[in-house]
Amino acid sequence: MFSAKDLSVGIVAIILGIVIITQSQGLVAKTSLDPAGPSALPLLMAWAMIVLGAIHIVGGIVAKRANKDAKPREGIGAILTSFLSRYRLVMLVALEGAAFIALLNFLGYLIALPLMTAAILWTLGNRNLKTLIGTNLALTAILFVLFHFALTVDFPLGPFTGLF
Amino acid sequence: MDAFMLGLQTVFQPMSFLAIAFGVFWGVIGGIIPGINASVAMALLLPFTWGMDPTTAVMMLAGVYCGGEYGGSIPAILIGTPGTTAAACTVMDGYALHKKGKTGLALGTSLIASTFGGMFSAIVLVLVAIPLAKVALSFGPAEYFGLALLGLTLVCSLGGKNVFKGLLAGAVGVFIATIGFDPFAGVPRYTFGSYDLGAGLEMIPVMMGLFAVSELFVQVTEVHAGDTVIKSVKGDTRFPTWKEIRGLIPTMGLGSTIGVIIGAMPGVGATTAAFIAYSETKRWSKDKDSFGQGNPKGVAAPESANNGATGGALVPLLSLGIPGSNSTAIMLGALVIHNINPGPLLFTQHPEIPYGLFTSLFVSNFLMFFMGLLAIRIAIKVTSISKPVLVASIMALVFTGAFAFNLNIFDIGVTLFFGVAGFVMKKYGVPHTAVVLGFVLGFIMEVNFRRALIISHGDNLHAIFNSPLSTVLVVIAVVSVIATTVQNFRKPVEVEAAC
Repeated sequence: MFSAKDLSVGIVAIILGIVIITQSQGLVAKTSLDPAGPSALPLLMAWAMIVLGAIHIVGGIVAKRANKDAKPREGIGAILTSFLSRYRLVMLVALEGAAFIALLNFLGYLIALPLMTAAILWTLGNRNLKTLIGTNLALTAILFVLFHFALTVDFPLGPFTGLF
Repeated sequence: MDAFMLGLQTVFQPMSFLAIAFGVFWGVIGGIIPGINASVAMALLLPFTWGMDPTTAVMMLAGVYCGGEYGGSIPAILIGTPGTTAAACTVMDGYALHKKGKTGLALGTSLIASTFGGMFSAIVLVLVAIPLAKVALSFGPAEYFGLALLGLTLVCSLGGKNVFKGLLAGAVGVFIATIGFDPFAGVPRYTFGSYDLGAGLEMIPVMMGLFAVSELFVQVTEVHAGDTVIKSVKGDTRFPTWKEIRGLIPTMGLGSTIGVIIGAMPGVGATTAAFIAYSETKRWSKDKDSFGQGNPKGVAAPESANNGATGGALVPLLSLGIPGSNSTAIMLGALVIHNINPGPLLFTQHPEIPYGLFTSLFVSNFLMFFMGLLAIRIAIKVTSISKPVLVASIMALVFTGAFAFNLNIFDIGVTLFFGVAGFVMKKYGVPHTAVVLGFVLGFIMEVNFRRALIISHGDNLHAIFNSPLSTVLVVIAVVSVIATTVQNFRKPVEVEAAC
């Protein structure tokens, strides 16, 4: 039922539970008009997370001990190298998404979107210039026409403000 | 009978028929686009109804409503991204079927179940509009709380091998639903000083992050070193056979019934109906283990329920003048701008409107079937696009949809945050679907529990067990949690991969 990975799940659950309990301190108390109060359900969930987190920690430790002989312990450097090699692309794509969010207001949708999609395509190994340019232009044009003209969505347009 | 003839005459006037057909087409397209659900698609058409005859306007909006509820299932199955929140549940088995290569079976089941649910709800609407409205309105806060609790019991089985992971994810989902201004005390909760978090988290960015973006990250990890193309799924486009459809009829019947009843309850909606239909179908199934791994019943139940909710939601609108959902509120708006007030008098003062609407629901569902077939033929080509292009395109579409929902860049950030969170959860075997379920039902549960407590003057027991119906719902929920937990301890279910 449990694996060694559940140790991390349990720790995160307990931290989240403690954060919720701490944040609930400043909330108004229950009144006769609102017998439960605004923190009743979140606190219940926080305690549930702490209990379930503790179960995961215990389960994780038991599973880790049971598997102790099966896999020799790796050093932090080896773990980090393995992590980076496995999730490098995911981190890059997520960073490209974050950069799009950060630059959207400044560059505008018509520049930020093709930049993000081009970066994702490049990251995923697409080096064909024709595909890169064609896909990005077509995708941006289709989405812009659909959302801006048909669905009347007002995008931040950056330097193109006032053109459409 | 004369009134129904009047309805038929109204529907088959060329302008009305064209308006319904356009409405269904617009609804299916809106449903397919993440971020544009049925009510958003209806709201976008609302300004154009001003110059129309009120009956035509309402019939067109009914077409959008039906088409929109169905359209959401197409991206849910093909790319694991629900086009509408009501299609979130369809992802579990629909996307699993697609990944197994049974794309045609999943899309066909969804289309047939949606049409079945829509037709069923139209019949129910005609037969029991007024009596059903009375039953739905007899639901008080305690009954709504019991209903939400019953829906939440599904989190236990979503944990797969580890029941505690399902419970943990469900608790996180319920907590996320409480972020933002408290609906009773009006104080900000867990906003960490953020102005944007004050309004709470919207369902669409959260769902798109957990379902779509997390799945994109999974696809990205599957790119092997040096490979430029991710291996795509070769889909079998064969639709379900008559034998397969026949086996799904009881599931569709159950889903449609749940959809109609829940749809008729003000403020609950198609998303809750879909989750409860899925949960109940799984509960009563002999083959519980296959749910989440690509069981067609896991597509038929939520899809028949969310389309079943369309007719149900019209019950309180037509019989009492109360909109049961955002979509019916827009229909109410369309009638009000023409100086027409829905309610019992509508049947005598403007019989062409309710009877035209009854008939238009049948026509809309009929048209939806054929437009759905066309949409499937086009959408299925998505699977033949190279995966890097697909990943970039879906990311662009999802981020654009997240922004379009509220015109707020913060929502794109929420989508990305929940995408990363969903990816990490997948890696640690924590079911992100349980987070969504907790998020959907958490708000209903909290608001109604607090209302029930106010009515019972703070007496917890009286608040929960306030009527025979609420008692039955809560008892079934508690027994179900215990039974599922015991069952999972004895025989763990492997559903992590699909969820």
